[in-house]
Amino acid sequence: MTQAFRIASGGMIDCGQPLTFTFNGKRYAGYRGDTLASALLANGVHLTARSFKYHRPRGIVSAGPEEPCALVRVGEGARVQPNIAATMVELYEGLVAHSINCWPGVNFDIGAINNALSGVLPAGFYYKTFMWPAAAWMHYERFIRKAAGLGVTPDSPDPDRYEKRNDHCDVLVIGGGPAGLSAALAAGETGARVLLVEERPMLGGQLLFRGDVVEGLPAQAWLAQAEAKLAQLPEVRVVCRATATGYYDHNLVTVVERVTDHLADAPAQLPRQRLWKVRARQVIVATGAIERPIVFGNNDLPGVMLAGAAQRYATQYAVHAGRRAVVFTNNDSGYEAAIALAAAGVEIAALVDPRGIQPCGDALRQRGITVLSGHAVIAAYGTKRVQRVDIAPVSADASAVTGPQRQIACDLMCVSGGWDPAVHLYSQSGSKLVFDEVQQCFVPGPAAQPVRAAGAANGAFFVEDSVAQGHAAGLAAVGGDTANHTHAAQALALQPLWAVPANVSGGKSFVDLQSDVTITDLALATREGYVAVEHAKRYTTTGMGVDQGKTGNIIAYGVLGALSGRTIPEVGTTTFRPPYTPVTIGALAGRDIGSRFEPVRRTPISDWHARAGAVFEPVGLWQRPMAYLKPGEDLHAAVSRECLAVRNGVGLLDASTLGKFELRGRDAVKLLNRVYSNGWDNLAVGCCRYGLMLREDGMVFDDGVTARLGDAHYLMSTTSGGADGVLHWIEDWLQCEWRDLQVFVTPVTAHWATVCITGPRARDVIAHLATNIDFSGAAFPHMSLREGKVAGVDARVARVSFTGELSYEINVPARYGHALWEALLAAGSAFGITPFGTEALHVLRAEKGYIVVGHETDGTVTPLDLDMARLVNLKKGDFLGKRGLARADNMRTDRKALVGLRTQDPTVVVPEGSQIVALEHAGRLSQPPVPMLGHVTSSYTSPALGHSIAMALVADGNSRLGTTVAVVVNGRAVPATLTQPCFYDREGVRLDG
Amino acid sequence: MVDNLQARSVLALSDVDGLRTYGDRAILQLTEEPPTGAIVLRLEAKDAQALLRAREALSVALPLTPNSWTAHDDIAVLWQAYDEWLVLTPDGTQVPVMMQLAQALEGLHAAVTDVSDLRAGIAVDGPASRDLLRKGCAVDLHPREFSTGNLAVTTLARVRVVLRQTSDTPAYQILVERSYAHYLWDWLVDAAGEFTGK
Repeated sequence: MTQAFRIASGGMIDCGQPLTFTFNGKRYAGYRGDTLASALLANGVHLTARSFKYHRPRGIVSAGPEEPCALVRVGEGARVQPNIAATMVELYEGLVAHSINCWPGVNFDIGAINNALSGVLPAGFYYKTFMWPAAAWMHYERFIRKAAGLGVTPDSPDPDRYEKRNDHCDVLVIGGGPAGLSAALAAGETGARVLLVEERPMLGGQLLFRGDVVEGLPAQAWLAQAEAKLAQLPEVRVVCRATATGYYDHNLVTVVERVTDHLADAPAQLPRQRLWKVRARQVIVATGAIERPIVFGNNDLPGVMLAGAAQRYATQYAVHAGRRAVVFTNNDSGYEAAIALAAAGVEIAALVDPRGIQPCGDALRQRGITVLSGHAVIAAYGTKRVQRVDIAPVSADASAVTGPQRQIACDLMCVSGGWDPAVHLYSQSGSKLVFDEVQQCFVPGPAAQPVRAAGAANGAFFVEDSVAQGHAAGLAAVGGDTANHTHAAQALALQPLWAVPANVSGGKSFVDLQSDVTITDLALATREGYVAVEHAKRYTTTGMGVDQGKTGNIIAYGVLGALSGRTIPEVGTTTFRPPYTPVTIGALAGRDIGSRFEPVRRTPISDWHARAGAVFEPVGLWQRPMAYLKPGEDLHAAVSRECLAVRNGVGLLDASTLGKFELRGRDAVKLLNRVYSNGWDNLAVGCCRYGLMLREDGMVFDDGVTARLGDAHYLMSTTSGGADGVLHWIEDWLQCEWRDLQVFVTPVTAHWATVCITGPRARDVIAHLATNIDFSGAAFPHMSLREGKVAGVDARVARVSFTGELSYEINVPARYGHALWEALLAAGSAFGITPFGTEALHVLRAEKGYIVVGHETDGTVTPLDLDMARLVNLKKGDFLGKRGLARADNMRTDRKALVGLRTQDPTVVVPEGSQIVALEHAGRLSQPPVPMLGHVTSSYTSPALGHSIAMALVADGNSRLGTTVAVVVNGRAVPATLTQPCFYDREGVRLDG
Repeated sequence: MVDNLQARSVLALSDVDGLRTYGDRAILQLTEEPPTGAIVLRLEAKDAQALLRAREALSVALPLTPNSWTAHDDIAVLWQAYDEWLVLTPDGTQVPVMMQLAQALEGLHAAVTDVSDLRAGIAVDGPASRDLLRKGCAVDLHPREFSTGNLAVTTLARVRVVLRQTSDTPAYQILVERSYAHYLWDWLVDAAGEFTGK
């Protein structure tokens, strides 16, 4: 439990709040304010993971979200989160974490044999297994699937809450370092609505570990003052533990706030994480910079760390990342790190700098630190921790070793190859990046949205510059000034060096530590022709890990450039894609899970259905009763009972889901003529007509009955699932093409509850309801509509039938729907009234040969295919689909036509969708191809007829009526005869009851 | 002889259920509103004569500013689109108001349609209202951008709603198509748990 590497004092941890946690089953101690990484380092634990491909030991490389190696699994059971950077996990009491990617353990991992086999696992190995030999992939797949991937997913549902939040502001500031704070202050003090999001638990950015003086104040004092000022501004909000993960069009930025991840006992009502969707007028990207390493042999050993990270561990977390360090840097920031480490008590064995002159060298020598100019680290050595490094003098451009190597013992190898502005979000905004030749990094270029960058994210690596840039950006953002960049006064003195000469280094030289991509792999990819950076990325998997190559990509560009004689701007970058850091699926899903995953639409009668034992089926977003199961009944029995009740007595159907639109205006009939294929000029007031709606290509896409309510007033009905689409379709035409038509379309679907009463006794039941409508056959004929009072409320009653029986659709305002339903049930009890569902409805309409859009049609079926030529009026003028119908293919006489199908065995119900072939081909089903004649569109047992019935679309079906075809069911031919689609009451006498 | 069908509120699951409520106004309250009259009025905003006659019939001018609403006495007129308004009346008066409108607009290109049962009204009241609504609604509800007199035809959770600010406390009215009301109520109650601790 001792923290042997903890510095006795200092840092921003709270020594008054000791915490315990376990890593790989072992208990350790840390303090509030630690990350998992800093606490592990305090306990001397460097070996935290095994690498992706070779299972080599890996340690903690960074102190931030760029961490490529120290990925851990945090939590237990259903709450487990895989692949979290230990550097970003806040320590809390009882935290449980495990290494990933190793078995049986991180200290001894069987997968490490891959390291010895690396010669047969070259770049693109995965792809090569696809290529040759063809059968081998099947063999490799199981092995690769098991070996690949990071971490494990939880095996049970996540019990935590995740919330979403839409937010808006004048200025979104991303990053709470000196630039971001200055920007937020400058903008906020004008009264603007400012949102500042900071990824870490506290504000400060680099001020948390660099002891600069800022605007004449010690860094901490400046920070405290800035925070206090921001807190005074009512329209400024500061959110920590909030990572901006994606930047989209219209200045939409997604932010993931980790609300309770850092708490051992989170309040139950609080979400674990919250996904913010921030729409900002202006965005300021002040996301800082990410240090990059320099590649040398075995640069992946635990104990090899970015210099700035070691500095942060010592200064912010009071942790010695090692006792004796070598610092390898090609720029001045490594000197600052060395001084900070030395001040914190780390022995600096040497500072190694390939540059011939070092402006800061004297500052180190004064502290007794050896500075080896013109030298480079060639390789690191050790088993599970760096134990020594080999260094050598190098040429002025560091391309060749010019002298003998020598060894330096150390347990910490700090490396700095320069800094890269965190331009990820800036680039995601669609804005350009440009290459800064002096500092050898990509910096923000011309903006494509109202966005500007400031501070280290803008290439200003010195605090005073960051503050000045932040201030300017904040003012510009509220002033509407689009002048973008304030150039930094100071540049980082740096000599480009991506990798020490590979030919002299021993061991593997890793460019991408997470994906295990070496310089050798990049060289192979280049030799094989993967020269374009996007190709090289995919072939070698460089930058494709969960860290997205935050530290390694720039080195890959440099190495690829060197290999192919190109500059880095010529190589270019891969695309910066959201998310910046991994986002949990929970945060993306939010509360749209379980019963909220998709809205369920209910009718006023839905509760009754559920209580009556209904089995529901989805129709669009509606849940409609499919059938009402009585105790002991299965679906088939219930449907049979319901069908017979309608044929022999009376049934009741909730038809409230049918789409309903009121059309008003002098051109209403013109609209009907244009959107339906049949004619509407002669429809009298009070009458109904069935219509087919076609797309421009002539194919049926909706059907329904329209009634004329008045002179220029119609009520259109549509299919239940098609109503929204029909409205969009009609409005599209009205608003975009037919601006001259004077007609308004008003959707009224849910205003009405619609109860369909159908069967020979329907009229008898209605006689029990008080009404001023004359329901006699003479006064109220089939295909007409009457308005009046039914049971005391205003009603519209349509006499239309989808069952072939006498039917009335009674529409009452929705508030009365439930009462109407119960009143009809009570009134019909003497007649055995039976509620029936959609399945019985489908059987009944199939008995009549009536189509259902979506069953008999699939977007390739014309009215003529459905034998509905009577519904196509070519004389009435133009209508949607008219020209489509005239296409040669639609005029063919051998198109698939709607027919009925009777199986020779009346008990066989062929599955819907079954293919139909000619009988003479039935014998060769096992020798495809077999010419296909058509397919079954609907298929049922008909209780009324006592045999199975089906409908089908069959090529040239009308000419084949009476002939026998073969329906293919499970590879077996079922003989069936083609008939008219109508099986029941062809004369239609039952419509009159 | 059945001659008196009993009306039910949208969210009621039985005849004896009252209007649903949740929470309290000190933090956040959700209330199912009693039924109102609702009329869709369609006419072209450029038709000055129609606008004038509609104003005379309703005693209140149709708001022409997008995303706004006006009220006079107990009639509220909600802008819905450049040629569409939703007129809310006390329940029971929708028929006479419709008749007045229809008569006033006789012979003009206009449409008056009763949609009193098309939507459910849910009132959201209390200081946490904005934070509740912003969970599922992308409209900026900050007082600088959206205040009493404003409305939005927008998406809340997964459904289309009319969202209307009815007071500065703040309080809002959500009008949602009846068939989605149960879904939306359940969504609101779930989302409210963070503020009410339930």
